[in-house]
Amino acid sequence: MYDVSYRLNAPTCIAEAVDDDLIVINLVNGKYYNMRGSSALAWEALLEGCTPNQLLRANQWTDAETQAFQAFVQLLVDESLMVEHGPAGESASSVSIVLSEDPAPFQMDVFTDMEEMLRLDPVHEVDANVGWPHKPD
Amino acid sequence: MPVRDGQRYIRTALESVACQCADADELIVIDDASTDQTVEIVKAFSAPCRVHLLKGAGKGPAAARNLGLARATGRLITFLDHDDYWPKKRIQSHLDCLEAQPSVDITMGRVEYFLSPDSARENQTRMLPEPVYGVNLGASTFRREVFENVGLFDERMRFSEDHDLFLRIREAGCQILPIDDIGLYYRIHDTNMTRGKSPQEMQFFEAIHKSLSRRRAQRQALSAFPKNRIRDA
Repeated sequence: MYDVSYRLNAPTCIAEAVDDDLIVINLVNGKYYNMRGSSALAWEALLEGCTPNQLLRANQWTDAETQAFQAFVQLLVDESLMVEHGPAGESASSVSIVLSEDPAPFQMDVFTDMEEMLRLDPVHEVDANVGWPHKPD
Repeated sequence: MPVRDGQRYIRTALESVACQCADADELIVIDDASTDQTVEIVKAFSAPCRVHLLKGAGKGPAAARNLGLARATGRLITFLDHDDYWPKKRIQSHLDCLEAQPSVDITMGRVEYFLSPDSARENQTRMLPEPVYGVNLGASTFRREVFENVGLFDERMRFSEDHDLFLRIREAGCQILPIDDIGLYYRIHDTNMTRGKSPQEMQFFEAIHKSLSRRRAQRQALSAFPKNRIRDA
C-alpha cells in the first residue's frame, strides 16, 4: 500500500481547506475528519500523486515519525477517505514535510458526533448510474 | 415557518400543521420579503391555534427563524419550511416522547423525500433514499432550553445554518432521541433553495470549521486552568 498513489474517494468524500484546517466529510455516513500541520501537508502530497514511500524517502523522519506516517496512511485507507489510484506522479517525489514545529505529527481527528446526520441533500443532482447520494463527477 | 415567495406550496404546509395543532399552540410564519401571494394566503388561513404573521427583512432563513424564536412562547419549538409538510400526528408523536423522557432535549424523526408532482425531474424518483435521519429542522422538535443554551441561528450563514446549530447542540451535549416515525415529508422541486449548490456553496465546511475552532478554544481555555494546585488545609 505504500508504493501506490491515491486519490480522494469522491464522490462519497469531499475535502476542503479552511484556514489551517483540512476538513474531509464522508457524505454517506456523516463522519468528518480534521487534519492540520504535517497531516494536512501529507494529505496534499498524496493527492498530488506522491506515494507514501516516495514521501518517506524524501524526508529524514525518525522511526517514530515514520511509524506515525504509516499509521496515518493506513487510517486514510481504513476510513475510505482515499482509494488507490495507480503509479506515482512524476513531480511529487521531492515533497518535503518539516515536522519540527508540529506537536502531533500526522494526527487526524475523527468525529462521529454527526454520524448519519451529515449527508448530502438529495435535492442535489445525483449520479444517474449510482443514485443518491452520489453527485456526478 | 420562514417563507419567501411560497405561494405554490405553503397552503399544504399550513394545513399539515393546522390539522394537528391545539388551542394553546402557536404557528408563527415569517414572511421574508415575498413578492407573490404568500402573505395573502397566510392572512386568509384559519387554524385551531393562533397564527402569527411576522415581517422579515429578507435576510434569509436563519434571520427569519430567529425572528420567530424571539416571538415564540412555547415550551417546545419546531420548524417547518413552507415547501415541506408534516405527516399526521407528527406533533403528538414528538410531544409524547419528550414528555415521557425529561432528559431528552430534542426528538428527531426520519425525513421522507418525495418528488413534487409538478417537478420536471421525475426520473430521479427511483434514486431517492429510504427515510433517513439527518440535519433537518422540520423533522425535529426542540425544548426551548436548547436555544437558551446554544443560542440562535447564525444569521451570517446563508446555508447550513442548521448544520451549524446541530454542531453546537452536539458540543453542548444535548441529548437527541431518534424517533422511528416519519417526521417530515421533504419536497423536491425545481426551485429548492439548495438545488445545484456544491458542498462549498452549502457552507458545510464553514459550519464544521466554526465547530472545530470553538472546540479548540474551549480546550485551550481549560488547559490554561492550573491543575494540582490543591493544598491540604
